Amino acid sequence: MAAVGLLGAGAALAQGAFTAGELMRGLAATGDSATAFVETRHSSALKTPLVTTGELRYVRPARLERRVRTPVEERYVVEGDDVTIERKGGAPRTVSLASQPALGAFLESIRATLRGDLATLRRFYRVEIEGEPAGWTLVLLPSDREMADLVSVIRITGAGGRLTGMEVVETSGDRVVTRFGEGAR
Amino acid sequence: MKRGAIVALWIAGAVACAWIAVRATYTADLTAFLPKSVTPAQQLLIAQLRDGIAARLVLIGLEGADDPALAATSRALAERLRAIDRFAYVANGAGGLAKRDRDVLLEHRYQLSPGVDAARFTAAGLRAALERTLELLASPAGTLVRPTLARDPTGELAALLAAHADRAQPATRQGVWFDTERRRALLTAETRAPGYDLDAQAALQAEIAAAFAAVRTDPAMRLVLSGPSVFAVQSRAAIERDAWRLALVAGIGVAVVLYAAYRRAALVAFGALPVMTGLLAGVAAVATAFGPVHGITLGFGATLIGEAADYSTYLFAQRARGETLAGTAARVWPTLRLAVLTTMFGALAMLFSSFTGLAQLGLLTFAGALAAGVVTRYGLPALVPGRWSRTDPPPVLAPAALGRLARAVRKLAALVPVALLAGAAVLALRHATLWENDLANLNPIPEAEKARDGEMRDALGAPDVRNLLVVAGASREAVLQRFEELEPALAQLVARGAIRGYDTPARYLPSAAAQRARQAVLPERAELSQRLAVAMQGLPFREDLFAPFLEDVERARGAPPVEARDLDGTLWGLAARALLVELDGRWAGLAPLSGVSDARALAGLDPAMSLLDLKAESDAMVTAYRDQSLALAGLGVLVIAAVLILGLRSARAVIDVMLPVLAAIVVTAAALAAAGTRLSLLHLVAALLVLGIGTNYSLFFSRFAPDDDERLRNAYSVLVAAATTLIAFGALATSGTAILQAIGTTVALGAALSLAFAAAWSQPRS
Repeated sequence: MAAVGLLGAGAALAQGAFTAGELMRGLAATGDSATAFVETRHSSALKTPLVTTGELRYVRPARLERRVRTPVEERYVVEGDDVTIERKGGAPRTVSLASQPALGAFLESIRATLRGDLATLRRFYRVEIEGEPAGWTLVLLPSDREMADLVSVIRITGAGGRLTGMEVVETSGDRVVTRFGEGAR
Repeated sequence: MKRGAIVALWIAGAVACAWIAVRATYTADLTAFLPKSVTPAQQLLIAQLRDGIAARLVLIGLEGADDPALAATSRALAERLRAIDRFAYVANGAGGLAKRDRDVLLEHRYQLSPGVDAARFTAAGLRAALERTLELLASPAGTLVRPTLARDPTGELAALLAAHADRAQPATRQGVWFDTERRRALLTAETRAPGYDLDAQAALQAEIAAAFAAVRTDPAMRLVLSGPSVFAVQSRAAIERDAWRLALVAGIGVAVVLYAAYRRAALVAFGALPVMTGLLAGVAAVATAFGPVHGITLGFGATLIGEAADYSTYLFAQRARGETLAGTAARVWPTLRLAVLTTMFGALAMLFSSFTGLAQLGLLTFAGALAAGVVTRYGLPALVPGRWSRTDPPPVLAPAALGRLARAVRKLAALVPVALLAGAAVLALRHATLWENDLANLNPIPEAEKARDGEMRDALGAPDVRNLLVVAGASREAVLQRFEELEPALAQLVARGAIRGYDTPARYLPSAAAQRARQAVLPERAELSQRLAVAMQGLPFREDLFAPFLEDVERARGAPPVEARDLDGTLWGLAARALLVELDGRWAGLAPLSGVSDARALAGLDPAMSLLDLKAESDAMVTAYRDQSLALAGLGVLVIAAVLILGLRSARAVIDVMLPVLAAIVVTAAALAAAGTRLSLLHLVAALLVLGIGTNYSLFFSRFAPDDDERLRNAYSVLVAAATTLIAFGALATSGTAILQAIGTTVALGAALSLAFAAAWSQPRS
């Protein structure tokens, strides 16, 4: 294993490879962001894929807001260690992320990436990176057992300090594919 | 009887007693010392003290490092402890619910979920549930819903879990429970062993410490443990440490005094035989009569029987020049017999106690004093070689000097009744604050640790275990049904602000009736399949997706009621078991209340419910215990007076014997009270010992003395006995442990005063 790791490191050095640390420094230097998203769940349980659209807003350092426009209006606000869920016709509900570890790990995959917080990502995932600064893919492999029971891998793609897409592959076989940016409309 | 035969009989008796004592069961169960005949509320209190969830909960704090290190260690520690089967449940805020909880709840969801009603299983109800599930699937929670989608499209598991998540949760940081103010990561571990099983608790606490040492990421990190069982283990360890150290100090001191008196090491050793035989006989008697022997009986018993250690002193120190030991025994016996009989019959009063522990203590003292007395009278003379002649008292105790001292002291005789009256006056003045009624203060926890326990409990949001609503019933089912009927009234109390919150066992384990009502609304398979087909129209779910759902509902329709054991190993099972208590074939359900601001609103709530204030109940029980002990001690004094009248055949002689020791006890109690000490059962037991040894001082001081030699021997034997008592209990009085210090101070002071008062008051009869 050590030898393979060493070979890999050598190969990476030879290519002057882009590291997760460099990516995170770049993301950490990026300011607040807001982007439209289109999310599609491809599932063996469904006859047709389930499409959700809305906006994703990130305010440094710890606020992440996911506003869904279609098919049903809904708002998820992650703030610190809590997530508040607002649905049409219902009172807002606040849940501690600690009490919902899988949900917490999932939301952190986006929030910690946007913050450029490698330490937090590594609390939940084994982190790998592919590509170059202008077009990179962050590969997150769940290390938390509960999360690993649900999710096989999360791939986040981006360019520079901007996220362009995300793919979640569940252990159920479902894939949830998200595209970010104005082009997503 | 031949000497050999006596020694053989003695050895046979001691071996038989030892055999019984070794085979006897010993219990550390504190509550065995509590009364049998009590109110149901007190029974419940005892059950809670024995085995309540609060007694089994260990609070764990990690501190002294940065947050990420504390959080990482909290996770690793929780994982290690969860692997140890002797912990029933380990929680640190991370991981939410364990997989076992989810599996069990999913399995029984249609019987457990309050959301199951007829409307939910109509086509319209199913449609609404499916639409909601589709929304969830499209949300970040979709990943969580997906695995159970086919089995549970109506989200019954989510409804159950949401009810759990709505309950107050402690603050978290880095995903684990945290006291953010004090930068302390928090965990709780519930042991399977009951709280009173201190050996098991000590072992588990050591396991926690070992696991912590193995997983901590930073050597500066500290582990703090708290909770009733932690305090109990700590205080026991402190008592044992102190007791061993002080027993060594006292033992050496006593041996030196006795050696100075006897000038023969073997006599010092032989002198211990009566008290040891007495202890064996006492334990054997208790084991035979009561079965399990309580640890406290043993501890207090060993204290009370301390008097018997003096018996051999009265034999050895009384030996006259040229006298055989058998001769001494025969000569001293009338007085020694009274010393033994007063102790035996004084202790007999305690046998009437409804408190098992006190009754055991009475029997142990009765049998122990009897055996020690008989061994002193017949065993020692048979055992000790005749050629070991006595030696005279040391020169400082020369007859002339002792005589002068005695005459000087006797001039102070009038002070004895004055001291008695003055002491009684002090006690009367202080009667309002004389007694310690708080069980917790009998074995005080250091203030700093008490404060830290409070901080940890606060941060964890542990419920106020002081106030409980109690519902009694003939069966578990009856109790659960009653709680379900009372649910609206309880919810109203919260709405009215009388209480902040409550919990009931029925929330975790619904009654069988409620479960059957839920099962009754589940449609049969064909019907459900039809309604589901209608509900699914226009939704993107695959047609055959919900076959597992149909199967689950069909199975739930015919399932037997979920019982407590079906929930074992889950948070639900733990809560259900903790809140349901069986008492002699009947059941009681407990509803812990938090933030009680209007206790009167609770009182008028429902006749079936009673409010149990655990603190008030335990105080009442301590008071009852003490009052009974006091009454029995008073009875014991009367019995001792009766024995003395029969033995001394003179009322005046009885007063002569009893006045000094009673004055000594009253003055001792007054001195303790004046020093601000609150008196407790410990002081009472110590006072009983003073009564025993002080009576003997007076008996020997006032013993018939035809000449100065006899008078000298009487005074000398009392002085040797008193010196050993003062050394032994004086050592205990220096203990840092409250229990040992209380006993030591009381006995040492009481014995010293008894000696002084008896010397001043008691006139040798001539």
